[in-house]
Amino acid sequence: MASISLKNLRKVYNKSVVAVDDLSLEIPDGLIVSLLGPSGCGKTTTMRMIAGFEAPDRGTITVDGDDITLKPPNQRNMSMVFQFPVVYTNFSIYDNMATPLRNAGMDEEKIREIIRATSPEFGIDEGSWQEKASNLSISERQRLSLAHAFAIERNVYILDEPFSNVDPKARVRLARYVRQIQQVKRHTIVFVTHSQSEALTLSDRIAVMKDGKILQFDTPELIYTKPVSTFVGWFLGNPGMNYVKCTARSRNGVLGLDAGSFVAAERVPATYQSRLPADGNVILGIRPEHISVSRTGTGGTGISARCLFAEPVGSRLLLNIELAKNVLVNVKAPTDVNVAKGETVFVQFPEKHVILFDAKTEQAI
Amino acid sequence: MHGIKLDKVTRTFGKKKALDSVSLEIEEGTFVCLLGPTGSGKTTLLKILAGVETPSSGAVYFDSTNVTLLPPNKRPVSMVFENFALYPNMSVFKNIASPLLAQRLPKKDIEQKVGETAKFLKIDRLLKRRISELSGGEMQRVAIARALCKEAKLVLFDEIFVNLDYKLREQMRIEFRELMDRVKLTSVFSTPDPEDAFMLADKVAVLHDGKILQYDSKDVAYNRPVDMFTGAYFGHPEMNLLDCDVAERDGHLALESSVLRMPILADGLKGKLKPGGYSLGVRPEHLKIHAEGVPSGAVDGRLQEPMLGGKILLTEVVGSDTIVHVAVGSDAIQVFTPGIYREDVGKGVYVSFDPRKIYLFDKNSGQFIGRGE
Repeated sequence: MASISLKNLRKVYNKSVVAVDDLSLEIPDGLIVSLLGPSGCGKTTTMRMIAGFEAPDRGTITVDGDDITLKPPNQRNMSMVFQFPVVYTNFSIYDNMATPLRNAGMDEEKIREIIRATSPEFGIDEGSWQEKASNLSISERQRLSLAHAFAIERNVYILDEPFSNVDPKARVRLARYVRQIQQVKRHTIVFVTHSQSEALTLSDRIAVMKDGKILQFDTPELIYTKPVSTFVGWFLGNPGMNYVKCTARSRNGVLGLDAGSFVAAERVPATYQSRLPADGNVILGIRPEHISVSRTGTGGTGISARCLFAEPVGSRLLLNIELAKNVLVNVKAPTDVNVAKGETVFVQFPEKHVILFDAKTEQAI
Repeated sequence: MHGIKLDKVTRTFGKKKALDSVSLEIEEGTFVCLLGPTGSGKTTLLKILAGVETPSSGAVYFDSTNVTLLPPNKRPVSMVFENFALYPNMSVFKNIASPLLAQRLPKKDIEQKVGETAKFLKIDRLLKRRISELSGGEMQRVAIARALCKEAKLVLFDEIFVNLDYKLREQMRIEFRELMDRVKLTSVFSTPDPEDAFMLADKVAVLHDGKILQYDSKDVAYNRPVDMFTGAYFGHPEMNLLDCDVAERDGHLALESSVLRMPILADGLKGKLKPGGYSLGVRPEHLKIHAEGVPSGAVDGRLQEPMLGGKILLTEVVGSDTIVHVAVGSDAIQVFTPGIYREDVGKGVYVSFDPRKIYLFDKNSGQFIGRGE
């Protein structure tokens, strides 16, 4: 258990590809922190620098205040689980878990005690200890890798896309083991993933990355509800946040949001009024589940639009709605709104769910 | 009939029956999702439609013409693969035009045809670009444009979204849907993912062990699944299935398990049940989570929401929603909860469901018996 501090890390490959660009991050003790982003965002390079497989060109890494920037991986007191499970296939399940403990110089009795305590945390039955690891499926091997990593007390545990190659059912089980063990033992875990769902499921904090930089570092709830940029809003959620380009204009003394052929908002939400960019050009962002749609419009308000398709998926209706030419939004509506393909519908953006971004910088205002 | 017909098609590989007497009629203009897990026979079925594979027995008809032995190049079929099988170094124009060039049509006709198709699919501005410069969504359009140009009677899509990054998949699925609505091609789309079927299909064909278990509209497959497999598989997330018994209590039939006891009041079920073992199906979207509650079956003679006590196994966020996995007795139940919901593993919660929304299956045969209403 330890806190990690990354300061101004920079890593350039082939003299021109900036993989990590002046990145700073404080990973608090005892939390699961995810590095989340699309491929090429720099999350893997960052993780490799934390683990010691890669040396930064600039910047420092400290663990509980100790500078470990140039320490080799085996002296960092960290455990790692990779995308492809690493198990000794000639060894039994027991010997797989025992190996790092033996390497640490523990006696067999102590080792047995630790393995007896760790096995049930990962659903490994004592009766299977002597089975050869070569007989295990990919999911079972990954479970063993996790058990093997968590069997020994470390400062930091690094999980690099550990669920990418396991089937969905096993994924839920493995994620539960990790959550549970972390809840009890308050390990510091760095979790690298491209899947927003996995990040939202497991993390205490998420660092959303793009182009070698951290765009936002927050709790899962805040990342989802208060994205700092249009990219973060789009990347989280399924489907991602909808965007409508607007210009703030005053009409009869009321500042509203004009989106060309329609009015996106009669009134700029009060919290935004004093913070609009000088040219008034903004992007209105709203999540699919927050858009309200009806067939009649309430009290004669709402944007008249055309429903391009409506499909019930589980308990909700997924709608694709054309507000104007080339302005489309995805909506997740309750099934009872009863809207059908081709119909004219009325759309509203409830004020409390609207987020405004500067049209030029695409940053939240 | 206009459309495609498979008549008792069987395909064996050695002793294994990849397809087992599959019959299917696809009306012109219908988008069919062939839904099934890996190894269920989806690819073999597509290959037989394309003519790349020959049935061991049975026949294939296109508009009432028997095409069973017609080679692929003589069939009006186009196949779109996961990687779209485009020529990466050729222009978009040449890719779309390739089937027409192979037919040696006059240059003017080809230009006109490709131009019209590209315009319809909104890729006319890309005609001079090379494939390697396109985004995934644009490549998808080019592959569909090529199929359209070929004037295929049938377009086959072989798991085209399977290995995509989820963000791309979500975007392409919506775009694809909008596109297919406009082109109205007779299509068969194979996928292991029920979400694809929910989003795209006119009709869904559920394939399992080489057999088509059900071929119906999405609505029918969702509300009246023929059996336990279809009920569980065609759901997003999967249906919960709980072992239970039907027993007679004070002259009434009741559904009982170690954690549940509720009277059977639904007219649709009453005549069909007798004491014995059943599987109770409850869809995750028909369950609710409560922080507090009183565990109960229904009070006799009154329809009440049964409430079960349990412990959280995991709150799994999926996109913008959460699947709450709850341990109830020895069962793991999935509850679909809109929004992002996070709770500690091991926390005690209560789960309730609407008894009218349940599904009952015969425990042994897996056959669907009825709903709770």
